This record gives sequence, structure tokens and C-alpha cells, in this order.
Amino acid sequence: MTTSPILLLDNVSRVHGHDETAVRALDGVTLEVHAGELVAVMGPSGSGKSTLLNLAGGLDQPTSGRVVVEGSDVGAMSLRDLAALRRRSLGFVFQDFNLIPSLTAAENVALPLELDGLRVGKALRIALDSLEAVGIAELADRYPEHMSGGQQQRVAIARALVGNRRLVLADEPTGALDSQTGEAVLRVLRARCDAGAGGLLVTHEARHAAWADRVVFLRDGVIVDTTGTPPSAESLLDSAAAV
Amino acid sequence: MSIRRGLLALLAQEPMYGAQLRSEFESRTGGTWPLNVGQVYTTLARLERDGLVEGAGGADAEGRIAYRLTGQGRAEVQRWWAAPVDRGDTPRDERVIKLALAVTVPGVDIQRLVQTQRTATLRHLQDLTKLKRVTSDAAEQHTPDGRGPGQRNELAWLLVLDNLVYAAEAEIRWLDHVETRLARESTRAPKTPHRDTATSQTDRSPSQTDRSAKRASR
Amino acid sequence: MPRRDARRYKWRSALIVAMVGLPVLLLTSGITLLATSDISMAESIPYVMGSAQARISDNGGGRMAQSPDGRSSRSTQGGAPALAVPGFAVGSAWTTDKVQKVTDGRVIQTSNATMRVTLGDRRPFMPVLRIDARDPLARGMTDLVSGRWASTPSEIVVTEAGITKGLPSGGTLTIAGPGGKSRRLTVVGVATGLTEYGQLPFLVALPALDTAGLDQTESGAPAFLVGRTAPLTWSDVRRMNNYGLLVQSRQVFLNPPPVTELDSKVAQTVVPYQNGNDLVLLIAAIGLFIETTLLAGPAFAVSAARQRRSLALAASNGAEARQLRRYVLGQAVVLGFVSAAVTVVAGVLLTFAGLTWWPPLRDV
Repeated sequence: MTTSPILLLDNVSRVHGHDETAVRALDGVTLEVHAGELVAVMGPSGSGKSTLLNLAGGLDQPTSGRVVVEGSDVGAMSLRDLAALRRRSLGFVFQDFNLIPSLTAAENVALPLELDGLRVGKALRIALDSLEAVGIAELADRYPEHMSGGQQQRVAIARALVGNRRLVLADEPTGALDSQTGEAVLRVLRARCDAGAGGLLVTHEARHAAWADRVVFLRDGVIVDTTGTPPSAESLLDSAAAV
Repeated sequence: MSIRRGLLALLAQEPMYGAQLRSEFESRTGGTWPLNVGQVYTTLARLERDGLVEGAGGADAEGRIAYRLTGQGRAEVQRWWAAPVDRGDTPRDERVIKLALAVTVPGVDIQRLVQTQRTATLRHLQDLTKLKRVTSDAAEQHTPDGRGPGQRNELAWLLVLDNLVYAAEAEIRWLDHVETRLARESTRAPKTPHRDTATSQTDRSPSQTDRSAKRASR
Repeated sequence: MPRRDARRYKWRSALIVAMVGLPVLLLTSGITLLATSDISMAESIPYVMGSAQARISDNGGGRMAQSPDGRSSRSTQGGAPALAVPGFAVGSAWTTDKVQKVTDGRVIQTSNATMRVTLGDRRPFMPVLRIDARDPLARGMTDLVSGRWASTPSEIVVTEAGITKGLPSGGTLTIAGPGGKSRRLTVVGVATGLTEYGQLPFLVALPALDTAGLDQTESGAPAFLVGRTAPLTWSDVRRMNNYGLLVQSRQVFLNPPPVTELDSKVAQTVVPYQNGNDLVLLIAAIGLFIETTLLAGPAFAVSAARQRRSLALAASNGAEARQLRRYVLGQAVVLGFVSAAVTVVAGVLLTFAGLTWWPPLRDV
């Protein structure tokens, strides 16, 4: 691809601790996420998946290498710039507890905009657009405790991509959901990426990772393999014929 | 196809004669793939013809000839370990057989092998998912509200796809399991339940211990 | 967000409001009580002197010095005899005429007394304000609610406080004496009233009330209300002190002289009293602070712990540290303000309600 990626991890390492006790959570990872692309990261626990996501979201700083979000080097940012980055450029979707319980769905989605200084009314209007995009505009006034897990995750996706945010970082977003609901949530995530967002999805479920354009396998902080090639029609026809 | 490769893999360990090859093959794959001696000798003859194996010396007292790999044969075995098993044209068991052999044969990077297979399967899973998306999108477009025959067909197709999806997922899970299982074995003592594979296990174990040591020292 | 949070978790918020509020409620009640019991000099004018320029009382001795409010005094010049009033014998009792000679203006007499009243089979003592309440100088001290003022010695007016104690608002009232002696008086009206120290009189009667033969009726020392156009200044007060008169002057009550102008010994009795009050307030304030910390601190801590998730989520959506601080603080401020406002008002109202419905509180 020739366009510059929304997210670029360039030879990124992250070491926790010093000397003998040092643990290398990530070791020279290079990864790109472009607009319209959903990239899944698979790996067993302890492989560095969460570290990768935290680095991408500016919640953690790399020991070496560069993390670049929409052209800006996250490593060079002040705390205030990092906060602004999280308000304006990217959003997180976690496995659980995604929404602030005292706010309605719309208010939750509007939160980053409000934090960024937008007037409440305008922020809520934009939030409604974003809820519309994930197909639950009618739940705008519900509180999280009155929504199903799948609906809450949709709200979280809506919030992650509200306004000008273009990068969603999802950490096991289907972990707390049954398989049907989980698939629906991934479908939404996939649709938002098809609509131009970039997505980085951390999961240990192959069936969910398969929704991504590319799947990256992480082992002990190293990318060991990638499904980088476009799908071939033959393999599909073959497997279909085999049934 | 895979008998051929399986025999090659066995010969990579040490030179063997036909009957020996047959019993090794069966014991290592748990008898899931019984061979007859005729099959073994025909295969060996073809392998010799293709220049992959050669006789190791003359016949012994009982008239048996041991075969060993040629350089070309060795390369062929390496290629096989490195490549994922193609889904299209082989019975599914080949993946299992290959892994079972890989565990017992020295010098195979089994982690690499598992990962290669996993990547291939996941790629397949991705394709299935993509097909599913296309199909369900199409279903929604064609008959937004009705239950036409077209939608029925699409539903059937989706269920078939789901079957494939779950099969592929199961395979990946199995591969994950193999990997963790092997990792656990390798951290134990180099003792092994296999009678003939003590050497291969000891071969592999140090290299894995090396790796973890390297990891820790970083 | 803090306001929304407070709305959403009503019970948690109510708990905090209560925990912050209770001590504040106690303190405001206490302060209100202090403020109302320690009536300032200006506020006490109606009770002390009605509409008169001054209330004058016989200090019962020689020359003296007094405090501006007249509550403390002492003999001066080694107990030198008081100045004589021309035309009156030295040492003769003070009468309206004799007072008038010193003060000019119009002078009427008043006193606070107690009488035994027969109420069924009880004969309780009841405070009586004795004054010719028809005189405009009495306005403020006692005011008519219904009926009319007593115009003869056999008529009497009951107060609202007296009615709550069981006095009739009409008909007749029997004043009891020893040995079964009694006298019937006609109740002709109902009035409000407060006596000099803020106590409630139950009855208002003429100074000339007919109590002959009822020796259990005690008459307080007489005092005199002075009506004149010119105010009595502090120097007037000091001049009259030389006649042995204690003067509570409207003018002085409104503009008390500085402590330096007081007799030094009298001043000593005034000042420590105020310091003591400050100390009480200080101790109360410290107590309140500790109480609030003990009660409200944990309440906020619990709520903050429950908010940790929300705060972390806000942070992951780009909230800056100062926004988070503002959020936590905002909540404390919202709840703190609500609770303070509600309980201050409640404390004041409760105390006033208490003062109205439970008169003994006034003695506090």
C-alpha cells in the first residue's frame, strides 16, 4: 500500500524491568494498520498482545522503536498530547466494563468529544451519528445496565470511532459474549473498517480473528507469522466442494 | 502422496529396510493408517527411481536391503516440513500424521511446523469468513423481508460455511493445544514414552531450552 | 458529569449528603440557638424598653457605673451617696414623678412579677408583665392580638404563651392566694409579649392590678419607661448613674460606646464573657471538622473507589489529569454544596421551629 498507515509500529520493543529481571514483552515488532483495514493479533496469553495494544494507544511507551499514529510519533508526545491523541484519533474497546455506568449510551459516545471541549449539544448530535453507524441509534438514551453485552460493545465501537477518530483498538471485545453476539459485534467492527476506519483487534479466538484482513501471530513478543496474502478463490471452492 | 513423504521422513532419521519402515510408520501414527508391505516396497521403488532414496549397501543375511535418503531426498523432506498441508487435495488426516511423525523425527522445527499449519488454516478461515459476509450481505439485499427460495439457498450455504468455519477453528485449537503440550513436554526431563525416539527428543530439547534461556536473558 | 453521576446514584449521593449534612445541621442549629439566645443589644430594644427612649431602674444604692446594656454595674467613688433629686427626700423611693424630674419627658412604670393562677386543681406560678399596655411606649414589648387592653385593676390580658400553658382566652381567671383566698379577674384580650430578658410573660396586667391580700403575688422591682423626643446619650446615662439609676438607653443600645469609655472594672465583666463565647465556637468548629472528616471522608472514599472504573475509562478516552481531578472534586463540591445548603437551612428552620413550639429551648 502506498497510503501512509493510520497506525505504524516500527521495530518496537518494550522491556519491563532491568537487567536480570528484565522481561521483554515486545521484541522488534513492526506492524501497520491502514485505513479500511482490520488487523487481528493472535497469540497465547503472555505473548505481548496487550502490550502491543497499550503501545498503540499511547497508554504505554516503547523502550525502543517508534509508534506513529496518523503521522505523529507517540513516543515524542507529552502527557497532554497523548490525552489529546486519545480524545481525537483513537478509541479503545475492552472485553468488559466499557461504558461509564452513570452516562447514557449517547453520553458515553459523546464523552471524548466533550472532553475535547465540544459543546454538549453538538457532541450529542455527533454521538447519535456514530450510534446510527453501528445500528443502535434507538438505544441512545439507555443506561449501560439496561443494555445487553453486545449492545454495550456496539456503543463502545461507536465511541471508539466517534467524530474524527479513525482507529479502534479492541482488546478481546468478544471475550464476554456468546458466539452469536460476538460474531454480530465483529460484523459491526468489520463494517466500520470497511467504511474507512482502521482497526487493531486482539483476540485468541481464531474464528473472530478471521474477520480481519490480516492476522498477525505473536509469540513471546515476536511476530512469528502473518496471513498477508489475499484470499484465493480456489481454496474456498475446494473446501466447499469437500463438504 | 503422503505415504511417500512419510517414508521419506522416517528415512531421514536413519536408514531402514521395508518391513521396518512399515512397522515404524504404523506405530508412530497409532495405527490410524495401516500399510501393507507391498505398498511400502512400491513406494520405495518409486522413490529410488526419482533419486530420493538409495540402497545403503547390499542385502543382509536375510536378504533385506536398507534404504537411505539421497541429498535430493533430504531436501524434499525439509520442504515437506516447511510447507503447510494443502487443504484441497489431501485427506485431512495427513495433518495429523505429519505432526505425529514430526514429533518423533529429529531435526524438525515442530514449532515452525505448527505455526505454518496454523497460518494456513487461519487464512482458510479468513476466506470462509469473507464468503460468509458476502453471502449474508447478498441474502439481505435480495430479499429484504420475504423468505424466497433464494434466501433459503443462501441460508443453507451459510450453514455449510459455518460447518467449515467451526472445523477450521477446531483445527487451530488443536494446533494451539499441540503447541502448549509440546512446550510442557520440553520443559520436563528429556525422558520420553516413545521407544525409538530417545535420541530425537534429546536432540530437540536442548534447542528449546536454549530458546527459553535466550528469552530470559534478554 | 458530576451532576449526572450524583443524579444517577441517588442513594449513594444521599448517604454522602447525610454524612456531610448531619454535623453541619448540628452546628447551624447550635449557632442559631446561640445567636437567638444571645440577643444583640439592638435586637433586645423592644423587649427591654418597648417604644420608649430608655428603661430606667433603681439600682438600689449610691453612685455607680454600668455597662452599656445595663446588665452589669458597680458602685463607684467608694459607695458615695447618690445625688439628691430636688424636691424629693433623700433616699425616697423612685416614682414616675421622681424619675421624670431627672430624665424629663413622659415616664410610665413597668415591672415583671409572678402570680399564682388557679387552673383547675393546679395553682402554678405564672410570669406577669405589669404595664399600662394602652400607652404607646409599651408597643414592641407587648402587642394586642385580640380583644382590648386592661383598663381597670380587675381586668387582665393573657398572652399567646399563656394560652399554651392552659390560660383561658376569655371569661374569668382566678388568682390564688394562701389560705384559699382568691380574686377573680376578667380576661379582656390576648396579646404577644416578651419580658426584659426575653422570657415570655403569660399575663399582661396594669401596674395597679388589684392584688391586695394576695401576698404570694410577688412584684418585681419597678422600672420606668421614658418617652421623650431627645435620645439619652451615653453621657446622659453616666449623669443619671450618679443618681443611682441604671439606664438602658435606645441610643446607647444602638451605638454602644467603646470599651475604653467604660469603667475599667465594669469593662472586665464584659470582655471575658465574649472571649469565652469565641472559645466555645472554636471548639464547636473543631469538633465539627473532625466529625465531618470522620463521617464524610469515608463516604467520599467509598464513592471514589466505585468511580475508579469510570475514571479509568474517561482517561482511556483522553481525559487529562486536570479533567479527572475536576470531576472528582466537582462531585465533592456538588454534594458538599447541596448538603451544606440543605442542612444550613434545615438547621435554622428546625431551631426556629423548636423555639416556637418548645419554649424551654429559649432558656438555653
